Amino acid sequence: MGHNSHTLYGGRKSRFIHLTMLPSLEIKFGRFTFSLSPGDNKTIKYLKEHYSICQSYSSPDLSISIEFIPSHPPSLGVERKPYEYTFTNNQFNFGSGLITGNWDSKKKTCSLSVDESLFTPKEIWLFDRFLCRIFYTLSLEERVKGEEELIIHGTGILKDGKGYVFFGPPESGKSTVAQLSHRFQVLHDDMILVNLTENEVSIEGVPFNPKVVERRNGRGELSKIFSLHKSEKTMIEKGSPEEFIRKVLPEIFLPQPLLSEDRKGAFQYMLNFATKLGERIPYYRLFFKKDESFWRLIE
Amino acid sequence: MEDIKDLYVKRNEGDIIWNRVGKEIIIIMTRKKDEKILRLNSTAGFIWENSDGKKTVEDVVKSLCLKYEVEKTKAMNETVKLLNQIKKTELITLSSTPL
Repeated sequence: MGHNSHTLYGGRKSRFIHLTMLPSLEIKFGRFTFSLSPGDNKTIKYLKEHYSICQSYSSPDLSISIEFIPSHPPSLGVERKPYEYTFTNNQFNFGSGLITGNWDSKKKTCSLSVDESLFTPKEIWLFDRFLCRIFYTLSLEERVKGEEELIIHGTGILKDGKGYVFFGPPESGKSTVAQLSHRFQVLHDDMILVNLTENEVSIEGVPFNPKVVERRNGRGELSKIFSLHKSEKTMIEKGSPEEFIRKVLPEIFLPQPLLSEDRKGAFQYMLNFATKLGERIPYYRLFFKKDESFWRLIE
Repeated sequence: MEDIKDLYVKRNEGDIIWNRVGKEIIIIMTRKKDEKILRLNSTAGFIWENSDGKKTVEDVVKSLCLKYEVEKTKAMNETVKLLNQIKKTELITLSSTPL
């Protein structure tokens, strides 16, 4: 057992009180701190590496307890459907049994049974996606008036205090741009959290390890946003807000909370967010070849 | 068979959300297995916004002619063409009575 048990007792007539302190890890996800308690030190060690920089020392906004269930080998005929999601009352089932559990909105706790195969380098992305959904659930429950936040598939970079987002479909060059920008503060090379308030639009990384670069913590005001196009020649063209919205919508992680089937509401939130973003932040098409010269044009 | 110009036209609101973005209308079909993002240009967007179930196709065309100063026959042909296109995607309903 990996638990650290402490037994407290005092006085002749007192009853023994058993306090079991589960090993836990606090991670920062946007404005929230999640406490993850997988119940064994080996997993804690693995998760500490995966969420290395985003560890938090604040008191948690949400406690997530994790119990492992044995993985079903494909030979047993259990079909894995990672994008399937069902729920009844406060119980949910993510990825056809890969993650099941319940959500307690009042206590701000989430109990999970997780297929043990997910905590491996190849499969951890599924757990990351699930954490994004948890983030959205909390974000919408604890919504601050005038503030909205969304996760975009993109590379986020801070340079001289200014934030830049580069987005596009797979293979468009998000990782390449991140690699070519190693001199600056690359927040993430695949998912970036965008926060929109009345006075400011800011970006920060999500707590998962990036694909090709080392993540650095940080947050900064978003200055420009680019759609990526690989090319033989590096150039930048100004795009319209209409074009920005058409291109960015497929790259937004749908803000659907855990216990909701309201897809229409989630899409409306997403469309309103993208519309405001397109109106407030200059958007450009970036055609780039594989060198750093695009930064000179951006500057 | 009824003439399409006399039919009432209504945009469907079921699994659909839309926003005006500048001169365009962006429509998202949100059904899980049939997600689509569509874009309507300025005139198509005008027809969409006016498809409220209380106006006939002819009413919409009249407004279109006033707004964009186009000739009525041309406007009617373009409108019918557009409505036939988007009817296939279940975005609008045409009916002989107001909707």
